[in-house]
Amino acid sequence: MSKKESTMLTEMDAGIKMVLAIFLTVIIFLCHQTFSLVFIAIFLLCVTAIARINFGVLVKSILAYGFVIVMPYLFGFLINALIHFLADNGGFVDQHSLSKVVLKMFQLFLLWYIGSLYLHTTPLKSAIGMLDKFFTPLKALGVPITEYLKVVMCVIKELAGTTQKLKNSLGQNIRSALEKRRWCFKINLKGIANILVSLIVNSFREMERIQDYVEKVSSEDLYSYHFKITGKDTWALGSFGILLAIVLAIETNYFFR
Amino acid sequence: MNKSKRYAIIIILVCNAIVISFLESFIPIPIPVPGVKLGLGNIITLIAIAFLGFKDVLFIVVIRSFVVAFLTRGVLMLPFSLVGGLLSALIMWFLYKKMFRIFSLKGISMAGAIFHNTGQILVAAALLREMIIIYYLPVLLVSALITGFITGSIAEIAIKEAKEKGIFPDEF
Repeated sequence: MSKKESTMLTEMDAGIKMVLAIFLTVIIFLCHQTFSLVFIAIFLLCVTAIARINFGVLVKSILAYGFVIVMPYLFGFLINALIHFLADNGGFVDQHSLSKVVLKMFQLFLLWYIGSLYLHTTPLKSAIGMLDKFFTPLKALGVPITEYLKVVMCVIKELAGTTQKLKNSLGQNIRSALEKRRWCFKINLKGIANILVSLIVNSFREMERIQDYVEKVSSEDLYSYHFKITGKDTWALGSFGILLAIVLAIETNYFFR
Repeated sequence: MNKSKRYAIIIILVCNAIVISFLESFIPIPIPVPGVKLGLGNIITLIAIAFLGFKDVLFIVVIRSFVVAFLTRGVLMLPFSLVGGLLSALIMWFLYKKMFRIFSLKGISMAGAIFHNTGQILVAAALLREMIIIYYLPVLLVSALITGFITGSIAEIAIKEAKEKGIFPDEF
């Protein structure tokens, strides 16, 4: 589990941060003025700078957004334009709906960014601990939420130990297997399958240890969340209040009367 | 099987699925298409379908989606992973358990990949409330046939070897 660098955002209460993130999300979807969204984007960039987040990490999750939302839409848009051009059937997206979609994409992007920002500045222990509290009604209905979250934390804990080891050993094996027989697809598949099987076989050797760990470890050892308000939270709430006031002023055209 | 053993197996399989997805980055795709991945992690879903019960398969897909969203791609990736993963697991489980005489493991994997990609594009269309995104589906379906065939071929060998090596005892 990677330890997050200590900044104002990482030291904030995870619950307060979550409430602010949810409020911000709601505000984003209630905004009608593009300028409000631009202002929120600038606010988020300032938050990113204050949190001293590695932009590389954020770019990775933003790229995922590009691949699953923007690119398919642009492809669809081009095909639609082509169909319109060839058949002239009136199916082309008009200027009005296009601007609506661009606005929607920007809203979704901001939402995506807030989610990434939250996860990159919140220790997993607190985030999972908060989920445990959030699902209390389900727990009352008999759903073993605590056990499920314990499994999630165990997976994260196990991954931390194995990823680097595998990166060094198996990654090299796969690369060399592919370089040797790049064009011999059947042998490659067999080679990859053998690597994967050996990975699975080796991991099952750890079964007793993991089983023992699951039995002995308590959920409190793996995650916890206790509400605690500090000066940093007050600052965050204050700046959020200012943001809210400015967005409200933009939405009601207060500055342009 | 006691609960802690069941959880240990699930933890191992989820870890394997995530690690295999990570190893995928070492494998070059001959014709890279943006947004298209081999999806080698789905081999673990196929292995789980072959050896574990239905609830455990769904549990593995859900836990994997949560962990990946938490650790890498961001929380909004969760609906994409969940819908795609669950749809694909459901169809693959049905075909494996009910129609194994008709469909080979490669065919089942291809169907799983098709449903996975369809699920993801439907989530994108629902989020944007814009149907022209569906035009991207044929590209994803063609790539799903290819990637599904590859993952199915590897899963076939992996499941055969797992049976021979007795990784999963009969009580599973």
